[in-house]
Order: sequence, then structure tokens, then C-alpha cells
Amino acid sequence: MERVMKDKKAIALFLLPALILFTLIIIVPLFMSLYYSVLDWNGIGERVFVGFSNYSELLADTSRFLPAVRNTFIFAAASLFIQLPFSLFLALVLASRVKGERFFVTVYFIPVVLSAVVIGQLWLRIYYPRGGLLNTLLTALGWMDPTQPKAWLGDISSVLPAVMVPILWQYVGYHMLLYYSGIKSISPDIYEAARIDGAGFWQTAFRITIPLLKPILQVSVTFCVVGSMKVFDLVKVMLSDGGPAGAGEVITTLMVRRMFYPSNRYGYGSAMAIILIFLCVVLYQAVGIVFRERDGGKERKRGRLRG
Amino acid sequence: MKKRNIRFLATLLALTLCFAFVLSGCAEDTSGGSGSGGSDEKVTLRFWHIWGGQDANAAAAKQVVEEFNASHANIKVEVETFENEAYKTMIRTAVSGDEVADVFSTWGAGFSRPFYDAGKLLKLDDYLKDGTLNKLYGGALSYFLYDGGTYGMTFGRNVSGFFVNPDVFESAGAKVPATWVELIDACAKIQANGSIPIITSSKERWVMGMLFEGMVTKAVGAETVNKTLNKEAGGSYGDPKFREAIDRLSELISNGYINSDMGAIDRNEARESFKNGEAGLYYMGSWEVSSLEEDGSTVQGKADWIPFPTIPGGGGKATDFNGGSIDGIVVSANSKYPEQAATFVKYFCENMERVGDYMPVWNTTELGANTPAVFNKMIDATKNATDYVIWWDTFLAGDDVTTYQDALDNFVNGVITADAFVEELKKIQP
Repeated sequence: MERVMKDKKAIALFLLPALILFTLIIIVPLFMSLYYSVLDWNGIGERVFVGFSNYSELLADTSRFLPAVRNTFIFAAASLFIQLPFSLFLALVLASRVKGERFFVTVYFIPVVLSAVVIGQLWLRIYYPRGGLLNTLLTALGWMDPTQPKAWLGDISSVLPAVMVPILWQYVGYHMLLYYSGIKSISPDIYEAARIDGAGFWQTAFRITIPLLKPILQVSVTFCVVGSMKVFDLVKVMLSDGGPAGAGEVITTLMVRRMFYPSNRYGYGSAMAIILIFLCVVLYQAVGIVFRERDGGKERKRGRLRG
Repeated sequence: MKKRNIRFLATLLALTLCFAFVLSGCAEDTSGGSGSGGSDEKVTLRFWHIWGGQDANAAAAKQVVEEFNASHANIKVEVETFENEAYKTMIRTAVSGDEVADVFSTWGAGFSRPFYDAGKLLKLDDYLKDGTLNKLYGGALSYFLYDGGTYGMTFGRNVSGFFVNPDVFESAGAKVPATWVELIDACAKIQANGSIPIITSSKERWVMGMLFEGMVTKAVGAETVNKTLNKEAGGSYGDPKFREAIDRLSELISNGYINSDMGAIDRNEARESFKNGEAGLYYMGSWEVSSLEEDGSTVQGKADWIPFPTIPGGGGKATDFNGGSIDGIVVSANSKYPEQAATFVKYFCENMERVGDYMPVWNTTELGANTPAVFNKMIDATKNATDYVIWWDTFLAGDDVTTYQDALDNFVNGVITADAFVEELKKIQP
């Protein structure tokens, strides 16, 4: 066995199938999209090379594309500053030996395994303007005039937050589980020492748990930011056509409607895809840089591959 | 030793990359294949369509295919069904990759034009010379004609208009409107009585679009609208009559005659609300009849139907309608069995109408005795039709649909003014 592991050719041979798959599924389509993005093409007919005009058109589109980018960034910010702190708090509480710990972990994780369509339908019922759960509640509390129910998803001012809540809610459990297992893997000796020194819940959390959790935090922040860029399913299920005047549109939903039905502008949509990939890569790198600087940036710089 | 290994690895990587590119290139070409279809061999045709699941025509489509398989020993049709909206995206990818079924459902005019332009559709004229054309009402195939050739067939006509809930009108003391003034009067009375005058959905763009297009037909006139959509001389979105239609839409919205939550409910929810008796008028296509006639619907057996009311000073006649024969099926140019596929297309279209939920385009069709009253009413009303305008989102192609739908959506949500709406529409013109 040891001999096999020393043989570089053998290693290469074993890596080959995965490499081929990776190239076929990720690298090739990426380059194809790059090629399509400089075309004026409807997906079937003639391909006309147009250079970067798809990109310049996108960056000048103040009515749909730029608002969609802004909405996507609002999603990312909300995930980062609302969802993650909340998940971390839950994990901290659950990991501090609460009664029924396992049960709560499972409960919070359930939304993650549900399909987006199910969650979308559920929240559509909650937001339904006529006798939906939210309006019924608000009316019962006397905070809403029953003759003028609010159309949460039909109102330009409320559609974005209304769509954001289910998405944040869905993945709280996911990030919580990451943190929870991270906390559980920290040696109990450290906590014991802290307790002997008289540290309380918050002190332990901020001085011990969170610093030791940094690698996990980086993973979670990366998932969260890149995931927000790619958010699609729940927005599609809840808004069908991008919401009133496109107020709930995000990059991915706009991309699908531009690339396929009804616009059929394959090249234009591909340009959007390339911009999306670019944003994901930049943000991924940015998260890496932020965390490295917090680390003091010495021991890790060496040997870390970019990309 | 070490250096050689690195070089070896690098070569391997490079080779993989090349290999992958070649492989992905090949994948596009291998799907064609070759087949020899002897005439007495049993052939299998693949048929993709959208009349499955909960669709109103699901049972009819299934029945017709089963009857066809039973009566044609040499042809077996295998069906795969898809959800309507997803299909619109998926079918384009399938057609462009030459992976589409032998026979598939599509929409005429602008939607299928790219398929025709790319040479992906089989020309059917030669197969229709057996007398099939004589069985069709004139103009039935007009949306499947491209440069004079017939590339698809249809099994029926649809028309859009207001479905009327007579109970809501009666309890409000309102009269079913024939003119704009009567419509406004009826809306005011229904609103005062606590019901929703007109229910629609702007969450799904095409639903609001249909209502607006009905209004435009009456304000501008079908002939001019068709010229405008066709980008011909004599029609222009700058025509003040278009602007008038926009102002009237604005009047309906600002008075609250259209449900204020239209942006939050979809078409199904609008229809269910109408079926529950919450609204007086519901603007939709004739395909909605079977759903309105379901058990539990408060309008079962008594729903009325009217076209969009005439507009004073408008260019549209009372007999100008919105609709047409835009749903149809086509044969892929790559089908190995074009003759059998054409046979099936003819059979399916002629018989689908007999059992389905469409208005007749075949003169061989006899409507059953249990046809709902509202359906007969639509057929009667459209007998003297002067002209039709098809739904804009199927007639226009590609980005024009986006321009139109985005502008309308922005307008009904108050983001742009009527003037800006007109300016957006003008962008559709060449």
C-alpha cells in the first residue's frame, strides 16, 4: 500500500476519473459560457459575434439588472449580519448542555432538508393577502385594518424583505449545525479551565469559543456569501416573474428569464452568468483575505493555493 | 526522477483537458443516429406535450393517444408530459440540441419562429393534401405558416374575455356591461356592494397582459393592433388610441376596480377567488371553462361570458376578439418517421378537439350535448367575429416580449408613467 502511495503515476491514474469529470462538468461549461457571452445568439439560430456589447448593455441596465445585483447584495448582507449571528447564538446556547439538546438541533435543521418548493408554498400561505397567517395575526393584534389587508409579496416596498425572511429562516439550521459541531469538537478541558477561572457564558463565548471556531466561521461565511449570490429557488417559487416591477428580482432569476423564455437571449444571459461567477470568485477571495488578516496572516500564507 | 514525475503529471492534466473538450464536442453530434424505417415495421414515435397532470386537457390528450395506438397497429406513440412554464424553457434547449421528440407541442407565431428559422421543423404541406385542409375552417393554421409553408397543426381555437358571475352582479344590482360606461357603472356598484369588480393577477405577467390586450383591441381596433404587432405600416404604438387604452387601465386600477392584491396572487388564486364568488368579472381564456364548471364552484353551470366592452370613440368593433389558434403540435425535422408522425399529428388534432376543451376549427367536430352553456355562449359570440388579435406574448418574439411585459408591469405598479409606457412600447418597433 505504501509503495502505491509513493508512486506518483499511480496517484495520477487514480485522480484521473475525478479530474475528467471536473473538467467536463465545470471547466468546459465555464469556457463555453465565456464564449457564448460575446455572442448575439437566441440559442438555436445563427451566432453573431458582438464583442463585449452584452456586458456594456448589462452594466447600463438600470431598470432590471443593476437593481437585481443590488437585491442580491442585500440578500448577502442580510445573511451575513442577521442569519449568521443568530445561528451562532443558537449554537452557543445549544452546545452549553441545554436539556433536549439533540431534539432542538434536529428541529432547527428540519427546514434545511425540506425542498424549496415546499417552503415556498408554506410561506406563500403565510403571506397570502386574504386570510393568510401573517395578516390574520396582525389583524387579531389590532395592528392592521382588516378591510385593507397587506399584499406582502405584491407591494414594491415589502416584497424583498418578505422573500428574504424564508431564505434566512431556512438556512439558520444549516449554519447552526456547522457551529454546533465545531463547538463540540473544542476540548472540554479548555471550558473547564475557563469555568475554574470564573468565566461566565458570554465571556466563554467571546474569549474561547468564537476564536477557536474561526476556521468553521470562515467556511460558514463563505457558504453564506457565495450561497446568497446564487439564491434562486425560493425567489422563483414565491415570485414567479420577479415580483412587482421586478422589485424582488435577483441575478439568477433575471438570468433565467433573459436567457430562456421569454427573451431567448442566450448570449446576454451567459454574460450575466459570467458576471455572477466573477462576483462569487471575488467574494470568496475577499472572505479568505478578511479571515487571513484576522489570523495575523503568517503561518497560513505559505503554501495556500489561490483559486 | 522527481522532475519527470511532474512533467508526467502536467502532460496528463493537459491531455485530460483536451480530451474533455473533444468529448463534449462529440456529445452534440452523436444523438442523430441512423434508422431504417420499413413501412410494415412497427415504429415508435415519441410525443412531448404539456397536457398532463392537472391540466384541463389532460384526460382528453390521454384518450386521443390511446385511441390512436389502438387503431394504428404499425405505430406506437409514447408520451411524455411537462409543466407548461418549465416546458417553454426546456423545449428550446431540446430543439437546439436535436434531442427533441418526433412530435411535440408548441405555440405558433413568434414562439416557434426560431425553430423554423433554424430548420428544425418538418414542413407538413405534402401530408395535408389528402383533404385534411378541407376539414379545417379558413385561417385555422395561420399561426403555423412560415414563409408560405405549413409547419404545425392546431386542434382548436381559444378566445379571451370576461367570465361573469351573475350572482355578484345581481346582488349589486349591476347590469352585465356591453360598453365602457356600463363597465365602469357595474364596477362601481359591485365595489359598493363589497365584492371585487375585476379579479386578475399581475404576479404572473401574462395574466395582466391579457386584460390589457383585450382593452387595447377595443380602443385601437384589431386590424391596427395586428399591423402594429406585425411591425407593418399603418400601425404604431405612438397612436393616441394606445395611450387611451393605457389611461383606461389606469382608471380601473386607481378606482380600485381591479383587486389591489393582484401583485401577490397568481392566476390559479385569482380563478379560485372567482369560483368562490368573491369577484364579478374574471378576464381569461376559454380554456378556463372546465375549471369553472368543476364541482364546488359557485359559478358552475351559470357563469356568463362577454368580450371586453366597446370603448366610446375606440377603433375596435364589438366583434373584434382576442385569441386564435396558437396552441399546436409540430414534427421535428430530425424525426426518422416523418410520414407516421404526420399521420399522428393529423389524427391527434382532429380528435383532440372532439374531446378537449377548445373551440372548433375543424368543421367535422360536433359538440356534445353536455357542453357547458358558457362554452356555447363563447362559440355563438365569436361566430360573427370580424377579426382576432392573438395574445401579444405569443405573437411577439424574444426580447420584444420582455420589453412589453416589463413595461406593463412597471406601469401597473406605478413605477413608470403612461407616457413612459408608450415610449417603452415604441422600442418594440424596428
